[in-house]
Amino acid sequence: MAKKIKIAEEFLEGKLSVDEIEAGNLENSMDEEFIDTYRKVISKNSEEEIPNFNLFEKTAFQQKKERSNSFKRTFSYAATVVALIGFFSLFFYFSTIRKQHTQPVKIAETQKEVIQVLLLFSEELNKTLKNFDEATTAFQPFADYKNYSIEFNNPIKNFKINEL
Amino acid sequence: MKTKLIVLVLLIISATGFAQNGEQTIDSTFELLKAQKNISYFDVTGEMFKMLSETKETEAEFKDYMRKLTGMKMVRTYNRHDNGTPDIYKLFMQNTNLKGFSRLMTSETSTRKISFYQKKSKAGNEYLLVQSSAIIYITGTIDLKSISEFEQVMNIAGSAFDM
Amino acid sequence: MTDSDFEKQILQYKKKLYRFALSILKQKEDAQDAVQEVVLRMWKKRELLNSDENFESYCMNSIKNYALDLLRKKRNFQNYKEFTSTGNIAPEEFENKDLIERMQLFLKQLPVQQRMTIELKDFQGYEYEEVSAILEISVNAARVNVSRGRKRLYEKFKEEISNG
Repeated sequence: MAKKIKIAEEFLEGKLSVDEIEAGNLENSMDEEFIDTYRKVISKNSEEEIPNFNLFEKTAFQQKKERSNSFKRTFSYAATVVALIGFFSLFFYFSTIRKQHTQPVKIAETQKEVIQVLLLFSEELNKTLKNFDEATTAFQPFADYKNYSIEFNNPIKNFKINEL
Repeated sequence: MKTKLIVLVLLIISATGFAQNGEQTIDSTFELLKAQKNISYFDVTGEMFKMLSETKETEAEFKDYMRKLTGMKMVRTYNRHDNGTPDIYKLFMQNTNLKGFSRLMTSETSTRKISFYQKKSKAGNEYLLVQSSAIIYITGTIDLKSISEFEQVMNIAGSAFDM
Repeated sequence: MTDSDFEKQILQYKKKLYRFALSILKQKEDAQDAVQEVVLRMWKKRELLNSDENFESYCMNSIKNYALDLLRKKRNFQNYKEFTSTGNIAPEEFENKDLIERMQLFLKQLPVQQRMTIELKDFQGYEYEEVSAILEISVNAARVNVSRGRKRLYEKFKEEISNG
């Protein structure tokens, strides 16, 4: 006969998951009923339909905006080039236009990469600061503080992330 | 009180835990790292930042950042499931002489370790983000608060910049 | 990561992302908005994302960070440090509800950290190591939070049973 499970020790302590508990294997009927209800809550939640929304709604809007910006930029750029044609000689036009065609593309690419690297640094910095803040407030058991360390004599010790 | 004291001692031990580093400069460690397998490398010089800060293409919100930067290097790993992909956190820490840098903080979970370093001098500031999948080195007159605020700047101005 | 890789990968996590956001924010509209916003933010830096890294964990972690930020901004927490305190549910909300629906309400009443860990561990079936990576807490902290949440639900269940 299988050993009866003490729900308080095994499930409530987080050692077993609800799937690992077999029906009729618990110490008393209250525990049996609790596990049964818990299972039903889980299955009810998983059966609930999620709203039919477009995951990329904001992304699509952004792309549309980008296309529009890109068109405006291209248009204004083209207008500048046309003005230059009228103003300078044919020889000067050729040399200028070649320069302007290649440079902005390279600059835009580098700029985009720089911004992404800065963003990554910024996000990781903020995330770590927030996690540290949370770890020292309510989230972590006291014994887990050692997973986070912060220099005592450093410029960010009084850095209030929430005030930014 | 006793527990708090133990935690305090633990924190101090971990804060001084990186005293032993290698002898190489940051630049030469980057050279070493970029030669490894499955690494992508990105390097922007002061001249380029000058150009970025002057070009009309740059949005006003970002111009100030470009003006305050004099250098940026990043190595990133890809294909992390390949055994040949190096542990760049370990490699960087073992090889780099971080004398003069102060460690701002380190966070470690079962899957992730990240450290931030800073060095201030009259010539400018240096910032380092060291984690197992990426290492970023930034130099310039920019301060830490501005770097932290960049996330918000991006959320506001990013859309105007096609990001 | 290419655009099509990004779209393919993110689509398969739609349900998980929405459910996780809902467990934190409680409101369907907020959860939907949070998922769309996080998708947009990730799309902006898709070139920096490695498809072979744990993309699922990264997405779930981004939802957690964004949803918690939103909660703070909305000042749903009277005081940030009172993360672990519980609000009371109005008695009329319990009217005409069966035991399972009442348990769902009790679940919503749990402190956010317990709600998140229970959602991930019990409702979405993640292992403690995965919960730890998503929430950026230690495995022990994840287990402690699951245990606290389950214990609280067990107490509520017992009260419900004894009140008939």
